[in-house]
Amino acid sequence: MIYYNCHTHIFSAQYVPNNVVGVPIMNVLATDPISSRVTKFFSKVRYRKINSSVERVARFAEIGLGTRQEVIFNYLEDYYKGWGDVRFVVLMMDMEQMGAGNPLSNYRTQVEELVKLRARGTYKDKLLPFLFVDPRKAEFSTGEKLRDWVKMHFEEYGFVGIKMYPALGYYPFDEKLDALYAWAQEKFIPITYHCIEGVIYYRGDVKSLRPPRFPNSKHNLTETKNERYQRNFTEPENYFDVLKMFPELKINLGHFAGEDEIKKNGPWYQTVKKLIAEHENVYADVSFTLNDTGTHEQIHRDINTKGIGEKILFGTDYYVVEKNKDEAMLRDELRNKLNELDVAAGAAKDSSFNQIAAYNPIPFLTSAYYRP
Amino acid sequence: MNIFIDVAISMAFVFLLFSIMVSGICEMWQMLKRKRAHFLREALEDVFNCRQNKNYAHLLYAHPMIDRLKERKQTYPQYIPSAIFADALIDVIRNDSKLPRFRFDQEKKEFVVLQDAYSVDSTDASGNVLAGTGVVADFTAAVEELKESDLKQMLRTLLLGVTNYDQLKATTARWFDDYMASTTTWYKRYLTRILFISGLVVAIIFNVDAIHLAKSFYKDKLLRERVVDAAIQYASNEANRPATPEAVNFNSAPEKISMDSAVQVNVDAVTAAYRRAELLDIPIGWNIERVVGYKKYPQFTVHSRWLKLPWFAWELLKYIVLSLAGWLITAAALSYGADYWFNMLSKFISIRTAVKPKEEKK
Repeated sequence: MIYYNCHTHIFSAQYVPNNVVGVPIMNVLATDPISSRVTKFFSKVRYRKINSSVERVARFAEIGLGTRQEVIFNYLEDYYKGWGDVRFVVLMMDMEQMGAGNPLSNYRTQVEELVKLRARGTYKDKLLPFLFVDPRKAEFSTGEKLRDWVKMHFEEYGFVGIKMYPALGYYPFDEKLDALYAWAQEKFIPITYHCIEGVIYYRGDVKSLRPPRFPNSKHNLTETKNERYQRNFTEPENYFDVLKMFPELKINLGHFAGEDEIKKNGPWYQTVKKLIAEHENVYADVSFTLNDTGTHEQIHRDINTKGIGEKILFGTDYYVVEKNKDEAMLRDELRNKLNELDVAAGAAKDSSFNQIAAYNPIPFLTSAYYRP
Repeated sequence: MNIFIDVAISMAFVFLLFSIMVSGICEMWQMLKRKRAHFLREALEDVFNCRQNKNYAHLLYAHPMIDRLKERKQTYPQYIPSAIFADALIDVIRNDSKLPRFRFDQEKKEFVVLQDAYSVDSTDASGNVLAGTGVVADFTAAVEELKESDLKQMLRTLLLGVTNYDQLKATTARWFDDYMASTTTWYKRYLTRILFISGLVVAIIFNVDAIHLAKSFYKDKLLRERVVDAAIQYASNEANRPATPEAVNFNSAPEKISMDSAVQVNVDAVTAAYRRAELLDIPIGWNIERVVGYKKYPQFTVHSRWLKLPWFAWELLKYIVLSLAGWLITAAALSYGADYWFNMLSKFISIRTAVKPKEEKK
C-alpha cells in the first residue's frame, strides 16, 4: 500500500518575505548561533508548559530555516521511516505578490532548486510537486501566458498539480485563471487551494485591490483590516462561481475550512461539505486542522459519510504545523483515534485512515501527466 | 616634557589593557555569531542574487562542492577557495539552461529523469579536439539566456577572450580573489565598527573616561609613576605582546580553534587585563565621589533640599557630558586594537628612554 501525504511544504524561509509575522524572529532563532543555542537550551528545560512551546518553535525554526529544501524534505522523510512507500505532495509558495516585500530568493530559484532536488536519487517519485500560481505576476499579462507557463512546467519538469493561496490577495475566479482552469479541467489536473483563515495573508493596501469579479453576499468589501479582508479571498462560496464555469475542475480545499469551523460546525465548514457533496471532483484535506484532537471525531464521521468520505484527503501541513505539534505526533493521534472509532463501529482497523491516506488520493492525483 | 610622555605611556597602557579585553570580547562574539560565514554569504548575495533571474548565491551554496565546506547542516562555509568557487559557479550557470526534465512513464508508473546533453568539445582545422571548449559553449549559451542584469553583464565580461574551460576557470578564480580582497576590506571596516561599539560598552561599564584619566595622570605624580613603572615592566616582556589578529582571508580556511579553547583564552585575557588595572588603582570604575565631589550622596536636609537640588542636577549634567566625551575617546582608542596599543606603548617608552638621559645631563 502506498500512503500519500497530500499537503506538505518544504520551501525555506528565504522564500518568505521578512515582513511576514514571525519570520524575522524565526530567522534569528535558526541562523543566529547564540539565539538558537539559547532556544535549544530552553526547549530542554522541562518546566511546566515552557518546554513544549519553546521546543516546538525551536523545531519549526530549525526545520523551516534549513538552508536547502532537501534538508527540510529529509526531516519529513525521517518521520515516516518504517512506513514503507510514502509519497508527499509538496506545495510550493510564491509570496512575492503579497505586499510584504521581496523574499531573499525569488520563486524561480525555488522552482530550480526543487527541480534539481527531485532529479536526484529516489526523490522523483516520492516528491510530488504542485506548482504555485499567482495570476498577478507581471509576466502573466494574459491568462493564456499563465496557462502556457504552467503547461510548460507540467510537460518539462514533471509537476503533478497546482497550488493556489487566494489569501495572498486574489480571488480564485480571477479572469486570468480561466484559460488555466479550462486546460486543468481537460487534463484532470488537481488544484489545491488554501481554505482556512490564517496568519499568512495580503499585507498591502486593501483599498487598492480590484473588486471581485463575482461578488457574493459573504464578501465584506468595506473591511479595511487586512487580517479580516483575507476572508473575502478565502471564502468557500467563491468556489461555487469557479465550478459554475468549470464544473469538472478537480479541486482540493486545503485545511477543510479550519479546526474552529469544524468544531462549531461553522458556515465555512458547511459550505466546503456542500461543495464536496454537490461536485464530483471537489476534495478537502485535513492538513493543519488535524492538530486539534477535538476535530477527530467529526473527521471520522465525515470519512464515513457517503458522498463526502471518498473525497477527504490526508495531509499534515508539514512543516508549518510543527510549531503546534510534530509531524509524527499529529499523524499518530489522528490515526489512533480513527482506529479507535473504526473498531467501536465494527469496521476494520485502519479502514478510515487508509481511505484518506491511501485510496482517496489516487483519483485526486490522477491526471494526464501523472498516475499514482 | 617628561610629564607628557609619562601621561602618554600611562594612557597607552590603560588603552592596551582594555583593548585586550575588547578584542577578546569581539573575537568571542565573531565566533559565536559565525559572523565571518554570514559576511561571506552576504557579499556573494550582493553579486549573485539577481532578482531578474535567480538567486545564484543560493544555488551556489546548494552546490555540493560548496555545501561540503560547511561545518554543520545549518551553517554557511567560513571560506571558499577560489578554484572551488570557479568550478561551482561555472557548473551552476552552465546547468541553468539544462535543468533536468521529467517524463512520466504511464506503464511503469514512474518518472523518468532526462538530462540534456552537454556540448562536445570542438575541433580545430586539423581535427584536433580543443579541450574544454564545450563547457565554454554551454556557459556562453546559458549567459545569453539570462535576462539583462548586472550579473549577466559581469558573466559576459568573464567570458571575454575565453576559449576553453581552464581559461574560464582562471578568469573566474581571479575575479573571485579580487572580490574577496574587497570583501576583506569591508569586513575589516565592519570589525572596526564592532570594536568601537564594544569599546564604548566597556568604557561605560568600567567607566574608563579618557579625559578623566588624562587629568588624573597629569595631576597625580604617584599614580603616574606607578603606572609608568608597570607599563615599562609589561612592555619589556615580549610574551605580553598581544597576538596579531589573524588576517581575514575568505578564500582559505581560518585557523582551526575550538570554541571552548577560544572562550577560555579570551576569558583569561580579559580577567588578567582587568585585574592588572584594578591592582594599579587606576581611576576607573564607578563611584559617587567623582559624580558630585562627595564620598556619599549629598545629605539633603528639608531646608537645604531646594537649594542643593539644582546644584546637584548641574553637577550631574556636567559629569554626564564630560564622561560621554571621555567614553567616546576611549571607545575610539580601543577600536585600534591591542596590537596597535602595544606598539604605541613601546614607542612612547623608547622616546622616554631617549629623552630622560638628556634631561639628567641638564
